Amino acid sequence: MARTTVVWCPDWPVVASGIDRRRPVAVLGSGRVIAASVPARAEGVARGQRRREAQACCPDLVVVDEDPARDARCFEAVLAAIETVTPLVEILRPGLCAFATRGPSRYHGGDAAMADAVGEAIAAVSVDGIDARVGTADGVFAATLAARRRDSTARLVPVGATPAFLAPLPVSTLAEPDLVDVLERLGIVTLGRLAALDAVDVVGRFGPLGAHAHRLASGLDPRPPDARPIPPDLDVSTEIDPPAERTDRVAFVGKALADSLHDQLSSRGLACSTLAVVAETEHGERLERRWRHEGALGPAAIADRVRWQLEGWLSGSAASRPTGGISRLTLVPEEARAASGRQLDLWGGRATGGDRVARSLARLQATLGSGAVTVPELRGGRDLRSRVVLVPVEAVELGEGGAGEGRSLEGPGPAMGVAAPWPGRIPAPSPATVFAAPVRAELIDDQGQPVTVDGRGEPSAAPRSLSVEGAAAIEVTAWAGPWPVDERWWDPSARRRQARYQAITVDGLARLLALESGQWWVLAVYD
Amino acid sequence: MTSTPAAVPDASTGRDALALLGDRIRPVTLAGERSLPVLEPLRSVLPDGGLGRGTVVTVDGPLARSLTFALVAEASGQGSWVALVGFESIGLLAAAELGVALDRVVLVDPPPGTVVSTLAALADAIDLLVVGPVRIRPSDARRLGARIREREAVLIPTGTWWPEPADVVLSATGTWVGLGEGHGRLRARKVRVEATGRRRAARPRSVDLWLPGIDGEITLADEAQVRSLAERAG
Repeated sequence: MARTTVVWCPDWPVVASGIDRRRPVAVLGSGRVIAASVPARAEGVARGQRRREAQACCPDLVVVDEDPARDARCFEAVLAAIETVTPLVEILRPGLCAFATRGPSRYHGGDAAMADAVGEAIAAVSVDGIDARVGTADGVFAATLAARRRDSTARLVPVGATPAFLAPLPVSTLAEPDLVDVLERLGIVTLGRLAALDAVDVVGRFGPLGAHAHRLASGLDPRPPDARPIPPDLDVSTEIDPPAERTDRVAFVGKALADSLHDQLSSRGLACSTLAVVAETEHGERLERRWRHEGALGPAAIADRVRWQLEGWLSGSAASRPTGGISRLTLVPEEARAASGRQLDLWGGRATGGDRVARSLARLQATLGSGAVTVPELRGGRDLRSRVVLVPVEAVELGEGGAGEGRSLEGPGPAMGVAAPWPGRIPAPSPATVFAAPVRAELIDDQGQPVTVDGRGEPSAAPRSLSVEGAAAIEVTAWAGPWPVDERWWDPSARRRQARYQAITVDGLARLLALESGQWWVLAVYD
Repeated sequence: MTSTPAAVPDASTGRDALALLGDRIRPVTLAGERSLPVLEPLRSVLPDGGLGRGTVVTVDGPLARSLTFALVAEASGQGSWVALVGFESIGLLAAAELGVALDRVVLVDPPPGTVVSTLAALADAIDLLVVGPVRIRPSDARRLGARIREREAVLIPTGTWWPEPADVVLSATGTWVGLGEGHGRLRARKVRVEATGRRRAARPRSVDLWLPGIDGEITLADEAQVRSLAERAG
């Protein structure tokens, strides 16, 4: 079991935002708080809150949008400092990195001395005192937890004491919400209790995910012992000519490299879990950084990490920036695991699941442009047009297992008001054609006069014939109405008064008509 | 001591073994037999009682839209996706009432000139392609038909614009029940569905349906029931 040291900078997105951490700051990603400064947390701002909730807790909160590239760029300075202590640093995410302890620990004379050295190196580069916590234990998982300890001496877990260190911690540290939920309901609330179970039983009940969790809880290397070595020829590399100094140009190349790396690995049934990004400059400098991921990196995740890393190198401080443009970019998959991607049927049988459809629709949406691909959503309402809303497909999650649940934008559960009674709505059966823009019409009585409806909802006469958009009048054989509706009378701009009729003409078509401000409209056709 | 005769297989067990092997290696369903399910009352008008994968089924007549919804309802309920392409002003509430699972429906509004490529792209992932009135060239239609066959989707053009002979041609006409002269409301609709087509669907067939019935369900209509309802509605 490899002894590992983790350096953790708390609230890294806040630090990277460059705003004074003594002020209440929150960083938002996808509309929710993902990090907050200490004063903000003291006011009750917590991760996962919406912007409004956070601002309600703390009115003078400074809100910043997340920017992973900015986080990675700023973290590069910290990494450069750690590199003065040890050369092989793996980035887990911006704000969290790990390295193997054995070498640097011996050199500095023990884990404690090495931790001090790392702390001093980071303090030397940071302007406003970056809070960096160094944790050492057996394995990345335990070391990450150790780094989160309040007491700095407790952050050093002695050799062999890792299982004892992990045992009292709650299972929620496993970051697998579904698994944790089940475990807690089974009464397995600490990692120690999980580790005490027989590994075979855990695999039998929870499968590979359970095996992984069990290994972590036992303080073992999360990688199963039979992890396959990567064939050496899988590195992907490309020359950049002329050498590029701008991130966007290199990142563009990086995207293509990421795709080809992922393709090569997946054709061997592998997915990358640790990736080294290597850049060479025209002056012969060689920059190298490792990114590690708990799961498997997909093509987009690889491309992101490459881009962040390039940002870190090319937009960093003058001291760490390379002297020339980047002339060669290489991606080296250092660790891989079996890809658990989806395998299609041998006979090309199609999955009816949403994945394939979602991919296909995303492609189509990209070619046809925004708003060309929409999905319907039922809403409550009186007006036929307001009862089905078309939502652009990019705004909804069409996942596996159908879109039904996650589809509503407001959150889980059906959209508002569908089940509410809505008195005055047109009863079922509903028309199959509902005009987006109602069509002008004329409903005429026996005397050839337009039918009118007075303020009390009394019609002037029975309708005899209908003329749609100035066409020849056709005889009305059956009708019902008027059904008045007086909506939103409290709001002058949204107010609507209508008298609606259902009418069947002699050609057999049934229509829904409405009289509004003296004008007849065809709202819908029952076809 | 004699050797046991079991070592030499006799002719009958050999045949059994062959038959068993034949069963095992035969594809479970042939591609042409695979079809998407439809509601029970519509089965009698469709060859094989369903929407054959890889076929083109046109729907026209004054009630084409409602019949189309009824046609795709069962398959969408069982997880097939439905793309509605090139429809304006479509009343999806009616679709939901006729049993279409709206969480399996996507609407696509392709700009002019991209209809064929859009449909070809959709055929990759979506089972039921319902297409509103669009204009395409016969050569494009043939290519699209081939694509549909290859991807085993079902193309449902509504209206009479499909320039090629379709595998099944459905049309729907109907009368409403429940609306009087100044009273009542639209309650139920009796619809006559007529089907022709080519090959196995060439024999004309028809069925009378409640689309929808007074309880909102789609059922077969029988004459006595129609008369009594008509009398009750006045």
